Amino acid sequence: MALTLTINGATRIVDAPADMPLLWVLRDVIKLKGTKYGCGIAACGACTVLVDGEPVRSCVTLAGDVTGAVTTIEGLAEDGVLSAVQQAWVELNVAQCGYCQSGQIMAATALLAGKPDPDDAEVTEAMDGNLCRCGTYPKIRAAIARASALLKDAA
Amino acid sequence: MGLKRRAFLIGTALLAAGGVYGWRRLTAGWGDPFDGRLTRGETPLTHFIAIGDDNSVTIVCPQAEMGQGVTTTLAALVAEELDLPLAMVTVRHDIASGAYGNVEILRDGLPLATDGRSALGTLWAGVAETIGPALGLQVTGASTSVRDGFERLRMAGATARALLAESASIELGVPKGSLAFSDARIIHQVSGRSLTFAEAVSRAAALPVPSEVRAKPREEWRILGNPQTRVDGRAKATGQAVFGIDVDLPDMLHGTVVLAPRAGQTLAAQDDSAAKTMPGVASILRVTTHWGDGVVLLADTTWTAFTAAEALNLTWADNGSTADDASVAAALDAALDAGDGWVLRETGNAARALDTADSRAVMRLAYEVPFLAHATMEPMNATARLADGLLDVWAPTQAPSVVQFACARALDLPLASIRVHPTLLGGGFGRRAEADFALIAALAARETSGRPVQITWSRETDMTHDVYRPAAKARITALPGDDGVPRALSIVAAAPSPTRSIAARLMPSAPVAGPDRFLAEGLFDTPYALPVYHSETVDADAGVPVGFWRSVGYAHNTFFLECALDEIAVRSSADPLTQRLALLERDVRARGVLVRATERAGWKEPKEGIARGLAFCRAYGSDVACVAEVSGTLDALTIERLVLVADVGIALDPSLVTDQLVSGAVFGLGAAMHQAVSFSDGVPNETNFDTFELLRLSGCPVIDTEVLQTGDTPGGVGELAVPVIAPALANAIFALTGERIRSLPLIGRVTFA
Ligand code: FES
Ligand code: FES
Repeated sequence: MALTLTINGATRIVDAPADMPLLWVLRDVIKLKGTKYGCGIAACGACTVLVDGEPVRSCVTLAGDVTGAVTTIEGLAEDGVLSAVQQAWVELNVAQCGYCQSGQIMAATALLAGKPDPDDAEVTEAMDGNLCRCGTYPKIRAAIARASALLKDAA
Repeated sequence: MGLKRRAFLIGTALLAAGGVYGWRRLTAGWGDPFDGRLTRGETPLTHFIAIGDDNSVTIVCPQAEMGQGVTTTLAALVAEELDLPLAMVTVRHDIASGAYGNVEILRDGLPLATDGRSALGTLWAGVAETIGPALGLQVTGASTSVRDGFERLRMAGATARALLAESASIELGVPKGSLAFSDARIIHQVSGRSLTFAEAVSRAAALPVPSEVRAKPREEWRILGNPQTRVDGRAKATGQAVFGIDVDLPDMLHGTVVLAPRAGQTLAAQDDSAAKTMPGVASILRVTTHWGDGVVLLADTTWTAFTAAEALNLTWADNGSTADDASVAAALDAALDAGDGWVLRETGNAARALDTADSRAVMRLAYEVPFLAHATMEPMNATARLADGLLDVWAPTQAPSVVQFACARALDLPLASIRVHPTLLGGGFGRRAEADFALIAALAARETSGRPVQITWSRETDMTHDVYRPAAKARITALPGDDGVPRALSIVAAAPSPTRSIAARLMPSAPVAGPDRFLAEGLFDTPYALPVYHSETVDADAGVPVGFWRSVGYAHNTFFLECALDEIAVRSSADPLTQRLALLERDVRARGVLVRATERAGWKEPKEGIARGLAFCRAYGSDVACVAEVSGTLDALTIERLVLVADVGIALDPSLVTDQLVSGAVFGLGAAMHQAVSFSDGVPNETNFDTFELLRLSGCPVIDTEVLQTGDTPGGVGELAVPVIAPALANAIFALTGERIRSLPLIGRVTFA
């Protein structure tokens, strides 16, 4: 079945069943491998992408239900220039194994888009569904603060 | 005896290579690991470094990058010797070869002579025997990755520098001593003339390898010892990093595997009529490995394979494990009752001291911990292709050698016909030292006429088919003394032996005899000068496959020992810090971390509403102490802060060392607070992150760290912090509430605020 999806600014006609989760359409059909499979039940956040700027768990979002514009980790940098969140992530060496980090960065991107200067509680609320087995939580907190500062400087 | 001696000789040869680096000789028997793998007109200088004609410098990282930052540190070792900015070094980790065998892990894992019993049948020796005469065990574990690379990469860098300098000196007709290195150029400082590495490399590669090279002394380090930007940071922040699950080959089939629900269970009947006809399903195959029976589904996408797996109707024979929590406890108790374990440390006669003491003075304590899952964030997976008799395996593996060995056995192929391409690992923690995930992909590839297959496990399959951290129980008997120093202490711990369990999967025919150090570590090797001490470990088969889990035996044994010491201190009205310092009277380094950690935490200054607990551990060549601070009540407990101080000898990259301490602390904290894998009729009850809880951001306390460096070699750090968290917390909870918690996870007795 042909689905029409807008992914990272481009419209794609994709041959996939409508009930296939967006995660697997991205990974195995479109071959955008940056979005990760972790649990398949919306319990880890590794598969987080943005749909019209809102963070969604792509493992439980059926591709046929997606009408908005999808942004994945591959869509954040523009012409090789990292987004502020990515920049902060690199600067602070946040990633360890890195497997959860696409999801973390997408969740942080959505948070800062809505709240450019989040307090600790807001960060916790926005990020608590994103698990990191490597324990990068303290750095994630620090990198969100750093990204917030970078965004302020750029504004 | 033959095997042990051989292992020792080879180990010695490699270690001696720190002084005289004969890399060509070392790779003899393994071939050139670069063979067929070079690109862009690259020329190898040593088997770790290749120079491209575009002046690129590429190094091979023989260790698995699973988050610890080993690629960054190994690149820094070479960059330092060549006076290159770190950013100019490209790292590849996709080459596996026996030439990259891990010397440190052999040293750690080699059998113990401590109890006088032979241990020749232990896993490492057995695998090494089978793998080949040169003992090429390329494995990442036991926190050895940087320790192993430290000498070898520096010496490779120094050798490459000597060869490049010699080449340039001939080319420019100037003495070597007048040459400087900068940004991949060799410069004659007086005349300003220079050569690029690319211009110097072909002559350099033809020169005889110097018999002796000297690495830069530490005082001249400019990169090492300083925090670096991770070389993999950008790829991991942009979705470009390739984990095993991201490998994508032309014409590849995606698949998954359904494994027997119980350990040891075989498939009796398979009804795949519904699954087979689902659109996109290519084939359904039965696979049998020593890890268990399973059915592989191959399809156009992973999702199709997952969906088809649910439509399978499988009947399993009635021959699997029936383990449940009661049977596990009974097996451990039975082993403790039977005794006759491995006694790896015996100082004085603890039995007599305890038997003859006034029984009212003797403390008898029972401790226990549950099975735990690894729960790597990236589920198990691998990709394989078998074409023209050649097997290629792309796998997020900690042990390319083990993968190669297991595939050779199962597919009846010579080792030379198997190429392992390690990818990045989405976490390892010991789980990826197994070979099951790679083997299943290889077996499936046998049935696809040369088409590559990628097998991705569902999270549920991953969690319910782990090789678990052993459940363990300990019986501790102690006679308290002055200052909290026990006059006699006996710790007898029972748990299933990971070495026996691993050997049964990897080499079922090989006899495993002798002590398993991985079961006993943390008890027999503690630096505490216990005046009368009996440390005994009993192997107990509980019908559950077990394996190496981050910090292995230290994880449970440190909980037993450090909590017991705390109980003894309390009974003797001694301060737990004073007690430990008394037990470490002559151990300057251990005292150093304890003193510093307690200073940082303000151990001697009481804080209103806050209680503290202390724990210490020596492992992997490093020392660590933790002070946990808690507040509240058993019904609403808050972990306020963890203070961790480690002495790692040398921190080649202090920022990565700190990250690993924090990582280990979070890992240990999740386990201590929440985690357990329990069984019902042989089947694990925890199946996904909804039931096996990882620590979340909201549960992560302030973690304050300090890294001390009082040595001249880097100690291991990847696992170091894990063992001290649970005992520090349990001891703090006692100090706060008077409740002594002797079993994990804490959630059974505590509610976290
Ligand atoms: S994979 Fe979607 S939340 Fe875990
Ligand atoms: S960095 Fe490894 S899971 Fe988060």
